[in-house]
Amino acid sequence: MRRYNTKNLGTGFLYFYIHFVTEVACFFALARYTESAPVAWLVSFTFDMLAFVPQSIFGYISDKIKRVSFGLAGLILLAAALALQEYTPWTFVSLVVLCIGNAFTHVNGAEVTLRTSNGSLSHSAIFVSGGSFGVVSGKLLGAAGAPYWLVMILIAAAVPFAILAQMYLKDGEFYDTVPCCAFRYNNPKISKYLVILFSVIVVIVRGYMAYGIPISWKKSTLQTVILFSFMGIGKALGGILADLFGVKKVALGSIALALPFLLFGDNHMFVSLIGVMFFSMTMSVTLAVLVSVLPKAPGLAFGFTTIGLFLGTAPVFFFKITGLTANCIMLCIMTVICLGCMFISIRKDGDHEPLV
Amino acid sequence: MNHWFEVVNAALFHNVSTPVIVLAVFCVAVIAATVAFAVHEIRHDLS
Repeated sequence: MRRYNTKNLGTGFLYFYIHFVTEVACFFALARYTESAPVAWLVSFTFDMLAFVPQSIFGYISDKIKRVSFGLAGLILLAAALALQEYTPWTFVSLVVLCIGNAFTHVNGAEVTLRTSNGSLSHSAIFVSGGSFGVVSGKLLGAAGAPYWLVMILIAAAVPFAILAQMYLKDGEFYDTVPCCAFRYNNPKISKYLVILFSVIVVIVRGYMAYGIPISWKKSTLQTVILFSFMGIGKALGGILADLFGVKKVALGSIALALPFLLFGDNHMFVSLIGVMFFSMTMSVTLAVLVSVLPKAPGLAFGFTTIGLFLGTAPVFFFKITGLTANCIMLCIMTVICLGCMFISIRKDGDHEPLV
Repeated sequence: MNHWFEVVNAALFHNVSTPVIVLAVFCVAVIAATVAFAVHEIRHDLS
């Protein structure tokens, strides 16, 4: 077991809350777009695309213009989107503002947690995990018809967190050196372009797999909350365990272990939840591998994961594999693809180059 | 002013196929730009 790096771990928790609030605001707003079925479909699809895809461009701008607080700007945009939704009939405008706000806070979260972590995965993993709790909370608040000002209060409460997170970034040490030079998790024996390609394939496959997981047991609201909570716990635990035991071991182990639990958990909630938890663990690993090949542009690296996530979830809007057997076969095939890509693209544990 | 937004709303949300094409083109453009930025970063890193 390695020595655990707790330096600046606070940034992970700051962004855990900001990410939580971001998803609450977004999914609360999405639940309130009460349009006809095709329009509701389009609202979801537009959100998926406009919130995820441009994060790479925003991330790259954030890499280059470091003094702008994208986190704070994102929170302001989220509040503006909710106000537009509440007081105007401009569905499209509020949706676009919502997506940009979402993208800004995500990009800043990645920048802050990656730059301050000195090569550890825990910081970004804790940041990422906040989203799962936010998604389910936002959906529930929206479905329950909660007033919009309640979400506004949550957003306002996140402002000091965003300011403090920016303070961490302004610390000179993160500007003077290559921001993420301590991330060296890519396999040095293969081209950096291939590492990016394999990592994005893993994210795409995982994004699509998530919709094929058999969960017949999920019938009540409480079970939905438990499912999302296990996703969040898995995401955070993935980074923490990777720091403790090695990135490659945790990445390959979690994907391989997830498969039997997911296959046999269709009607058994706790078996399935263990699978979901293992399945979620690789989230921070792919990000760390991408940052390893783009150490000067962590925002851009993060953008690759969100593009992958969009590409993985987009097919679900058009067609979906139904039937338990077909889903199980798909899970097996995709697990093999994930294992292969990660085995090739991740550096062997303990095989790190010395820090320059 | 309101009318302009209503027109955009109608164009984008009451005809599903048109906005999907617009979004797809936007998506491809952003992905192409992202790849270009990554290539630039990696080449800059190697030099």
